[in-house]
Amino acid sequence: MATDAPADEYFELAGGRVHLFRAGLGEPLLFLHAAGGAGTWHEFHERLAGSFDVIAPDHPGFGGSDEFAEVEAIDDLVLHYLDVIDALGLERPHVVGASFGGWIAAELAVAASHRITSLVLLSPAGLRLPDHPAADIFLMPPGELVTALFHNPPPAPDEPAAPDIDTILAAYRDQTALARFCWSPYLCNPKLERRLHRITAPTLVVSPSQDRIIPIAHGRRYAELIPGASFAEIADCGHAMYFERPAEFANVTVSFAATAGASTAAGGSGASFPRASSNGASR
Amino acid sequence: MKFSFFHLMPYPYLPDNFDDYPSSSLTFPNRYFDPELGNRLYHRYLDELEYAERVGFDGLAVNEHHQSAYGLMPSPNIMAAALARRTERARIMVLGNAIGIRGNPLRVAEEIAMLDHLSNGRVDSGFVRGIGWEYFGHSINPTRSRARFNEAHDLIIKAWTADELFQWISPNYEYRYVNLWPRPLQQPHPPVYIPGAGSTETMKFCAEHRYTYMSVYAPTRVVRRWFDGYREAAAHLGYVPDPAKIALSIPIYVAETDERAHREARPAVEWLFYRGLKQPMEMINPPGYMSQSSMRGLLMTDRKPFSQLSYDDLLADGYAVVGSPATVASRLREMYDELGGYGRLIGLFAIGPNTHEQTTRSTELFASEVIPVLRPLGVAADAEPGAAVSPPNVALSDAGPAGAATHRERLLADVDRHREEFEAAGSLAEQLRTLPSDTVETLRGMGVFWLKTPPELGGAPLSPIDFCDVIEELAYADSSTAWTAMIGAGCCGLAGGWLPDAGARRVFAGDRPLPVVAGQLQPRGTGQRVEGGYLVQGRWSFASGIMHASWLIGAFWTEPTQPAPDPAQPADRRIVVFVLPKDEAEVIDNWHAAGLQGTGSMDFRVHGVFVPDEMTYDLGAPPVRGGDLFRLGMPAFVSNEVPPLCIGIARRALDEITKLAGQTTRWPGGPTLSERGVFRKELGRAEARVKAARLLHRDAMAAAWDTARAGNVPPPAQQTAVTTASVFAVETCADVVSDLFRYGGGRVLSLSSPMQRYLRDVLAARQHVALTEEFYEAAGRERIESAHRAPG
Repeated sequence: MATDAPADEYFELAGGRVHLFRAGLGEPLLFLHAAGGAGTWHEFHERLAGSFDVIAPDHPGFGGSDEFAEVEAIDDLVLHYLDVIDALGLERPHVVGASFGGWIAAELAVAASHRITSLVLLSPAGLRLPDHPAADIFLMPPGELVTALFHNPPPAPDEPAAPDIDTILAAYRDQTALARFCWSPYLCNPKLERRLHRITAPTLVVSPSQDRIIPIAHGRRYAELIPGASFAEIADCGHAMYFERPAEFANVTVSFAATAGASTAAGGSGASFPRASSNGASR
Repeated sequence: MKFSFFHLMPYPYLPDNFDDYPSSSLTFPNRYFDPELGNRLYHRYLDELEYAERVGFDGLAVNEHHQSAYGLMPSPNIMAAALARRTERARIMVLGNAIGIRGNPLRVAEEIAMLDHLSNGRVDSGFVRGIGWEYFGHSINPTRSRARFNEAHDLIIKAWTADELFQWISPNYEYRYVNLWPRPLQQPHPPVYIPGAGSTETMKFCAEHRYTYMSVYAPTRVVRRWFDGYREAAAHLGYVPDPAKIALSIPIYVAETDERAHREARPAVEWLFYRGLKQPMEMINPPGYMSQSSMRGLLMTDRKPFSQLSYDDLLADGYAVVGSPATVASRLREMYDELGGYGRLIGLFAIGPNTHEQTTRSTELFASEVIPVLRPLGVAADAEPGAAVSPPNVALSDAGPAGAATHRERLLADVDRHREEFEAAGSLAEQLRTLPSDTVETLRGMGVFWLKTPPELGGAPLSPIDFCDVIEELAYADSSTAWTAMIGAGCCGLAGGWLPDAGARRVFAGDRPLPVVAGQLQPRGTGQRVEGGYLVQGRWSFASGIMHASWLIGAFWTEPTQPAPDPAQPADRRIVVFVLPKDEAEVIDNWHAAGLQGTGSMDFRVHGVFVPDEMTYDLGAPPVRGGDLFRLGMPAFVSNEVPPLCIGIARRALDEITKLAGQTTRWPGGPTLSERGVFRKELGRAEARVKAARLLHRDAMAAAWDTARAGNVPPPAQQTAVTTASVFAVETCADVVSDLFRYGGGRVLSLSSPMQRYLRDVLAARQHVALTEEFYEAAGRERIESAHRAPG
């Protein structure tokens, strides 16, 4: 599933060090990972890197990034990512977020749509729909979590290796970081729903059809409330999304972001901010 | 030994398909709670607690759990209230309120204060963080668990002890008006218990506050590690815990015979460990509940889950104790030895589906036949009469249970253990011109900075001779480390012994652990009298260790309050000693010295800063607190600092040159230095000189100490004996090191040779103002004067 990652990169912000992967040429695309996706470079990212300069940082407290203890809640995360965009000198990146990363991306777009070119939300968290509650991933034993993530779980190895202590600790650290932001209200910002109308960036919401973690109703609701948003459903897929169907997710993301970039260049969105040129000179 | 009866109040009527459920907690449906059966259980359980008092238990314990068949007490305070007016004598132990999951910790402070009155001062207040699943149940973020617990604890203690309104702002709680009515009955507040499950943070927390540390559900070998961790944390803070502060909590069942006991207890033990305590890892350790290091410790442990332990395994490992009275007494006695002792036994006598008759009979048999056997255990070897409640049980000589190391022995063992670290620190300190910060941390951890701080401020003072031993051994390892330790202890001692109460509280109660103070008492500035204090101005030098200090001590001349009437007469001025926070001064990095380079003895300047009266005292005033050690008077109180340091350096130089002498020859293949008669003579003489200096100094200190311990301030003759012995010791050491240095030839000139550092450091020490030759002059004058006074 994972391919050879590009080299580990780091940069310093005032509050600590951010780890990221970066590869590809073209317009900048900021990828905001899901809960279990820190420090991962996947076939999906490779495919995106075929058309974009893909920047995939680890969120504060996840993967190879520092704790950033002062980044306590979702509002701090939005400001953190504005700092990341500034620090890397990204000119109106495309922003693609998956699950928890999708929630961050949506909040970022609510706060600063003029700073981004397009928005792709992959089964995003962040809404509170009492009739369609998100599953409690904190209460699931690891085996149950794997089953819930995939529509077609990958074949289990014949001799499953007992995970070593460092791997368990790294996973516990990532879960702890997730819990900082997502424990209560659970995986959502109750105020987000009534703010989605403020998003002016062209938006695509993509949901897998058999998502047992974040029900598809969440994706549909996002698409309903974000002005002009498109919605795409990927069949035969669980919340693992691009881990389960990397090609489908990459294709739909790339084609949307490419056209969204072009339409903005043609003045389609009415935005008056200058755009980065399409050969990725912003890098 | 104190004995408590702990009731878990389980709901034992579980359905046949219970094994289908992941746990008895959180998600186990409450439709399985039958209100009629539950109602009868509550009243029966309270009867069992009251019965325990009647048969002689010292304490009755309840606890808090939510949404669970494991225990039916979501509010332990309600249970304590139900017991308060129906019991007379036993302690009512709430073990404990889950302050980590409380929205409003003040409610706990209020309820315990009320319970204190309802029970007429019998309540014990345990605090817990709340079990993992309760963070799911109450929607409290487990990543904030420890912070919430710590803040809630601090707030509750402050609310109990403040006698005026205050505001509380901390990251997790904000209260603009804290004004607790009622105030608790017990002073300063009800005793605090902390049930621990092995995290080092909890052990240190408990030791810092001198709370009772209580074990929960673990095999004996693991509980031993926890108790040792608590004892070690206390040792690092410089004290030996009262055994009653260490509590073993364990399920116990007693019947007339072993056979009957196992037959009756087995279903309950199995219920507890396979059903009541059945919780998956995700529920017990939600993310952030454990720190990374505690999680690592847990993962590396060799403990099996309860479900994999048979009934016999559980007993053999020490998870529970079952048997006849004789068997139970003997097993608990055995555990006492395996655990290194404890002073409180909290027995869980109601853990599962036992009948009322079984529970009460087990309780009665334990009280009448086991308690008397174990009662004499767990008492401190030489507990001070009347020392019922803390302040800390620290004496200036041996204290603690028989067989435990003395404070001095533990410190010397620590120095030995860290010898290599200190030696390495020495060369690095030379480059940094101050002691490296991790070595400072090591010294902190050993409690070395508070060996002259009064116990009532949290210090653990050593007798002056023991202090000499420690400084000497530190200096043997490295002089910068020893100097830092010595000055730190001395300055803290001055602040601790002499500052008025309000000032001492600011300096010593504000900082955890205790603060480090730097400075010296040569008056080098002025203080202009203003309302409530002084405006201080001046520049002071030789503030050793200033880089890692948080407070500074210095002395100033007061400005005369009126002009001198006659220029020839001295103006109306006094020398006042002051203490101020380091960040109110300017540190001047000017320590470039020919010796003691690694001690960071920099200058500091104070630019017209207000110092309140409570942070000052008049030089020469008697100490305010601290007992015998502070009765030594000046300069005896500070005279056990530089001399033992120089003795340590001299001893080290002796050993180094001895070693070197076996390796040094004038020419290849020639005789070694060690074969030269002249060198041998010098070496033998040097050893005698150092020993003589050491003995003379200690003899003078011991005489002064005897006087102080008898309740008197050593008179001038004894002070003179101390000062002349000090000067003599330091001079002798400087001469010895210098003489021996010569024999090292060219080799010892290299900056990588330790001998040159011993020489430079001992010479620098001799320059210290407290080792002036003027003390000899004073001694000579006294001798002449006393000869004149003698009759005939």
